[in-house]
Amino acid sequence: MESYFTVMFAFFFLPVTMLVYQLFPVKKRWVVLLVASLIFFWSISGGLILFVILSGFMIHYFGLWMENIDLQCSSHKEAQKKKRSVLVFAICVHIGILVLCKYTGFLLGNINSLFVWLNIPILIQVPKIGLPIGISFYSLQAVSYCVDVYRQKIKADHNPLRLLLFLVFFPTIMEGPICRYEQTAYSLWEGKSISYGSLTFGTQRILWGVFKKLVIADRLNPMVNELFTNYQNYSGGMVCIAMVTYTLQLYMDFSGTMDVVIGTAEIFGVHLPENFRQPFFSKSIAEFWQRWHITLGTWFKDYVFYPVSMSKMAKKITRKTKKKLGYYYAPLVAGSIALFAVWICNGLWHGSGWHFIFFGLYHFFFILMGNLMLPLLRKYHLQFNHGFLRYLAMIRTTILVCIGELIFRADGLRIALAMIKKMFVDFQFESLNAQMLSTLHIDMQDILLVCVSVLIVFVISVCKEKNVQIRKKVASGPIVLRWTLYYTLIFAVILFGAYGTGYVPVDPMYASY
Amino acid sequence: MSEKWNRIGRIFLFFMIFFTLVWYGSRIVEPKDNLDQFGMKDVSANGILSERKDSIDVLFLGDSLVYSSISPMAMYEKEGFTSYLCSTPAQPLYYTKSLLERTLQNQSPKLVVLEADTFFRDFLATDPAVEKIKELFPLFEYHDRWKNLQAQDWTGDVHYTYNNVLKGFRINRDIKPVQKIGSYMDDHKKGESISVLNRWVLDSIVQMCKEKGCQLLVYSTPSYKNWNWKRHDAVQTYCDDNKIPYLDLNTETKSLSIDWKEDTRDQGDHLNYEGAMKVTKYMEEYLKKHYDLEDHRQDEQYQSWNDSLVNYNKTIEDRK
Repeated sequence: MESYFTVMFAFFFLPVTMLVYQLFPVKKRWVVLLVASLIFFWSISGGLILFVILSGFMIHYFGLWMENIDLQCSSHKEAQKKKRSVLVFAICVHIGILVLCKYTGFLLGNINSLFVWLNIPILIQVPKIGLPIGISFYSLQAVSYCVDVYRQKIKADHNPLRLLLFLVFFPTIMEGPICRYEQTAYSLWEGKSISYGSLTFGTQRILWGVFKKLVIADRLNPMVNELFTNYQNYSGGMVCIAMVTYTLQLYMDFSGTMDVVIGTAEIFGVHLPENFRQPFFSKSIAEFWQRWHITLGTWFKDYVFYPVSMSKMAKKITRKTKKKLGYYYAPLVAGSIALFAVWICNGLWHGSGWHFIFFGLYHFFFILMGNLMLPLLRKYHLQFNHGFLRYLAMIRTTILVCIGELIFRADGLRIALAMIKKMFVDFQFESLNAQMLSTLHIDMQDILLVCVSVLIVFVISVCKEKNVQIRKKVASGPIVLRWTLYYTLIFAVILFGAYGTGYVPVDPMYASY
Repeated sequence: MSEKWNRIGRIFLFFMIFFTLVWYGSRIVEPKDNLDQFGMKDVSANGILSERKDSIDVLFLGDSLVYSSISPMAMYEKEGFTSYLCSTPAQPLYYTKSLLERTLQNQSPKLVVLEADTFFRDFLATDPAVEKIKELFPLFEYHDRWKNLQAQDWTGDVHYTYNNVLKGFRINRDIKPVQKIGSYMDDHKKGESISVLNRWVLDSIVQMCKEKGCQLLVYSTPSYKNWNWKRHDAVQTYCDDNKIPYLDLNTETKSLSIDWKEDTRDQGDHLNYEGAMKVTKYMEEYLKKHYDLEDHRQDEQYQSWNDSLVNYNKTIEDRK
């Protein structure tokens, strides 16, 4: 079972889990979810399951430790000081494991390059370290739990199995969303019955996600791979197409998987936070990151941005610069330092490579520019929220996002820069004749299908943006209309999905980050 | 209570309509002929669908090692018995079973010959079920045919017409020698025991052959890259347990005169045409000697095979 998009998961694992869950007494249903989650994790990562089990038991212990400090210390200040040490230790352990598993190769590779550059004849062997599935996601959940206990936002959980389930819940383990303890831990524990409503609503959401992934994202995959692997053979115009289609593929893949994840959880009565809110309607890069991978953005805001920008050092900088820079720009200095930290972390979270760091800094630059230029825009009454300028801002943001995704997808920083250069110095299009289409592993029918499917997603996104409750409207519509829609969606997936003979299954793209 | 039954009824109706649509969709997209231009997959192996009913004496099943090593037409020319290769690239054993099942609906071969390389190809536990669903509802196998549906797909019946003169064999005259020739049977390779899943499918193939009255022979074609003693032992043990004859041609490479510098097209993975002719010669003699196979060369009912033989020899000449 490699992912949610396998026959094993959809037609065996999930139905069996649902059946056993429903047959179990309410109070013990969490056991079914926990066992199913551990089986799912084990089927993908094998023995590396020990990492997540260890994490679960560790955060349980750290939580209790901090709670004990609170009970034992009479002075609040002293308790905070001791708890801070425990928290720092807990964060170091979790981030340390993440760094060890994910970044050892990158770090040692860079040290080796430095030795070569300095003519030092030392070559450190890069060890092969297994990467448990979803480590980037559950590590952040573990850290957020420890910080929230430290901040007394939540009480330490005395049940290690509940914490383990919170970390390892099978719909969220591959690609998130990155949940907070207070959001999901107790609803996982409640054991709500699977109702007709939760089943139908959950299934609808899953179907919609499968449509986005199989019909659009996976159909674009061979072409995107070809264009990014052999970009030297193509003109700048084709590189531009690669950039746009990859952005589309990534969005459809990630948001489609999120629909499957949220739909699956919905069946069990668990409401997960949304990770996407029509990101391509954003008028700035800052807004884009409030609509794209929302749970990662809010995690960095709560656990990196605020702690850095509210630190003593940041306050000191604001105080010192206030006279020279004024009330707007002075706090911006400390805020920008925090923002820099956020984007370095964001880039690195996505992967170990300089292009990921550059990807983070690229977005930092545009958000910083946006912040710096705000007074100027206000001065000249330039409002991007209304009229024609609004659409112009959306297009501009989309172009910047696409360039960012090109950096993200390219096999290294040098290649990313070479591709961007090609778009500017060699902007022309090859004719899309039969030979070219065959090289790109796509045909005219595929292109037409993708265009129509994207249009459907776009129309639904517009409705959502206008707060039209599509699912509720469909659910309250006449049965003929409802069923026609369901059959259309099901048969669109069966007929137009990129699966079976001639297609290579594509794992959810964010599962590898 | 009535609300509950109402819901159950609606669910039942929903799935009834769903399966009706899947069935109808399957009828539309299933290839109406076993030709490439009709969207048929594995055309070479599926050529057997247009062979006359009960006209095949020996059925060969297996992966690319089969179509690279046996020429049914060469055997027909020498000994007069008919055979066909239902072999496809990287054929998993559950697909072997599916091909056998489908072939037995129209043919009654005296002998079924299984190439053993497939016994070591892993697959997921769900794959056989998926294959079965694809068989029942071709919509899932041929869903991509929406791109080139023709008028007759909507109304026409299935009618197979493809006459494969090579009978599943593929000619490849490339020579890419094995770099360092050693005692390859002693090398250890990945997957040297028959997995539980493969054993389970294999048992059902053995059972199916028994029920249909077909004799079964397991053989291993010479393959420098794929074969070794451990695999040989695993297959031998299985065959002994089930009283099936096992012919490992890897132990006969000297008597076959296989030269790994001349007789392989890809450094010992597959044989080329020259290698195939050596194996074919051995196989035709072995089959004639051990099985009661009729000579059809003078039989009028097999005139199409004689016609195919002319075309086959012409094809061999053309590809020299």
